[in-house]
Amino acid sequence: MGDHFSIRSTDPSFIELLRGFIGSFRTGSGESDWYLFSADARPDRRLGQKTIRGKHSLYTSGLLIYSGLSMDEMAGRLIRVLRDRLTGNAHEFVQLSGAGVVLDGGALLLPSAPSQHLPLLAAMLVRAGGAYVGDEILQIDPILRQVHPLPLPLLIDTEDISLLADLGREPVPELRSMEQPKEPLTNRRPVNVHELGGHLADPAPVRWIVFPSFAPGAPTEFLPMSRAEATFHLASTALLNRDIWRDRALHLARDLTTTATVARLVVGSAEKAVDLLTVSLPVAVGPPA
Amino acid sequence: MGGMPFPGPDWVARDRYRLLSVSFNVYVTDPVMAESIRWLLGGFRLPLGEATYSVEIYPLHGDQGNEWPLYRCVIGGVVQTESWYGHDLVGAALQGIYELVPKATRDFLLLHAGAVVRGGAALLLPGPPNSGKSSITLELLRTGDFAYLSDEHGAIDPVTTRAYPFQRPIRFDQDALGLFPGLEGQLADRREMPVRLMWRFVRAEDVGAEVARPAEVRWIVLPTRDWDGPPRLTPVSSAQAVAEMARNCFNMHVYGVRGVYLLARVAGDAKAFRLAGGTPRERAALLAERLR
Repeated sequence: MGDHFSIRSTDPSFIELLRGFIGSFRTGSGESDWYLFSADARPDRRLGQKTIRGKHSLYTSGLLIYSGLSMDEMAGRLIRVLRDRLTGNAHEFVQLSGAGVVLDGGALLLPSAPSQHLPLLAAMLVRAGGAYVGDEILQIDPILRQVHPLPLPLLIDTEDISLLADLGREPVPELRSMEQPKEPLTNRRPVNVHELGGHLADPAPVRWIVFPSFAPGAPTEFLPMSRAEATFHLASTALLNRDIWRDRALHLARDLTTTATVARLVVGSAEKAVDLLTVSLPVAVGPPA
Repeated sequence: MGGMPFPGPDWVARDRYRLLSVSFNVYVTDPVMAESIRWLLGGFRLPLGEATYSVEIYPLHGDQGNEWPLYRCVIGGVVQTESWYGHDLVGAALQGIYELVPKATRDFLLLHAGAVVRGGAALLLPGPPNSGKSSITLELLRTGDFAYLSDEHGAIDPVTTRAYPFQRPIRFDQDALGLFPGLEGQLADRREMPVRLMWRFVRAEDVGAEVARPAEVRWIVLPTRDWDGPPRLTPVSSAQAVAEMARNCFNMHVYGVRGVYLLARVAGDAKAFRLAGGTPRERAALLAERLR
């Protein structure tokens, strides 16, 4: 993706784990390294009848970025830092905070302020047949007005992953002595799109823009939204590289909300939200005229 | 890259500049050099804040307090030059900044083109080096009918397809000033800028022109290196205009084929011509007469 980084680990199994998620980006060792990730991965060990969990630490540029008991979470943190660095320079795209999938050739965008639950919603949409675009960052091409997918694994919140039970990921024990990261920067577990039975989308035109808000237990429903409100919301709450695109992003937001169908979605239950989005949304509102 | 430099030097200038979307924090210990950089980049100055790159000019350790200290110019952590002379250091800072902008810009398609505006519509002059972009741009400004966007960087916004200003002063060798009768007396660079650089600088205001706002491109004129005969404007197809613009693009690699779509959109809304013959002044006069 035009950037170089290297990873070293005290435990080869961490490198193996990562290869399963980002192995397709692997190059020869001759490239110059822009970033270095160092993992201190300690295996579990037996002490009599007890298993002592190995504690893992991940550093980049000498800075501790993960400390915990799960290599899966550590891989998630590494991929997240990597993703943010890569997209942090990709200003040829207007970037939105949000999730997205492609349904029937049109992109469904779920722009939102950062939320740790968005990746779960994206994963469930992929399960339901959507082609994967992104779980937290959306890249809009300002020329053709298409959304471009990020070819990286989804990063599911470590607590939400239990809702995808068939993935078979073990829960991660919490050490009370450890400070847990705050929302929305919670620990994440990487999940490949194919593990969800899905595939990466091709660039696609934006057909639906639905602004989710998470309210567990509330009725899951669409709420109407004016195009002006959607334009403002898109440019003000979801825009990531505002300092680069400035007023031009407002032009793009206006164009997108003019040609796409817009709505709000109260997410009381992720399953119902997915039903609404994949079944009711295309039928109920259809593609824009 | 753009953080605060190490404490130590006594900065007399801590200034921030934004050239298109690339920002620079400039730190200088010498007041004369600081004033010169402010003059050169004045149109881009912003309040100090976060920046993509830092530019630092400071005396080397051990030379502080010397009557003739050896200075170093560093941009983004990379040493540009070391010198005792302000013109070397200010020149290196300016050159480094100018070179970084097209490399770091990703939110505009940057053409190697002069660009001016008349009546709210932009005229682009994309062309290879030595095809007269800067001199035609200057002569167009001197007609009094055109406002300034840029002499070298035609910045096309992918969202709106409009041309945006990159209003750096037009830069000429001293020898080239003879081609522009009466211009030298209008220039403020040697009067207002305490460091004397080898180049001469023409701001839009020096020739009575304004810096333009972003504008739709209505004309694309491809200047050639054919200076023989009287000036001539020959219509060319949109496809030819797209090919020429793509050939003279600084950052087409960023957008790839999407960049071609963008250029096609720009060319589709504009009239395109090839420009040959004539002196820069004659070429500008022809354009001023024909492009209305």
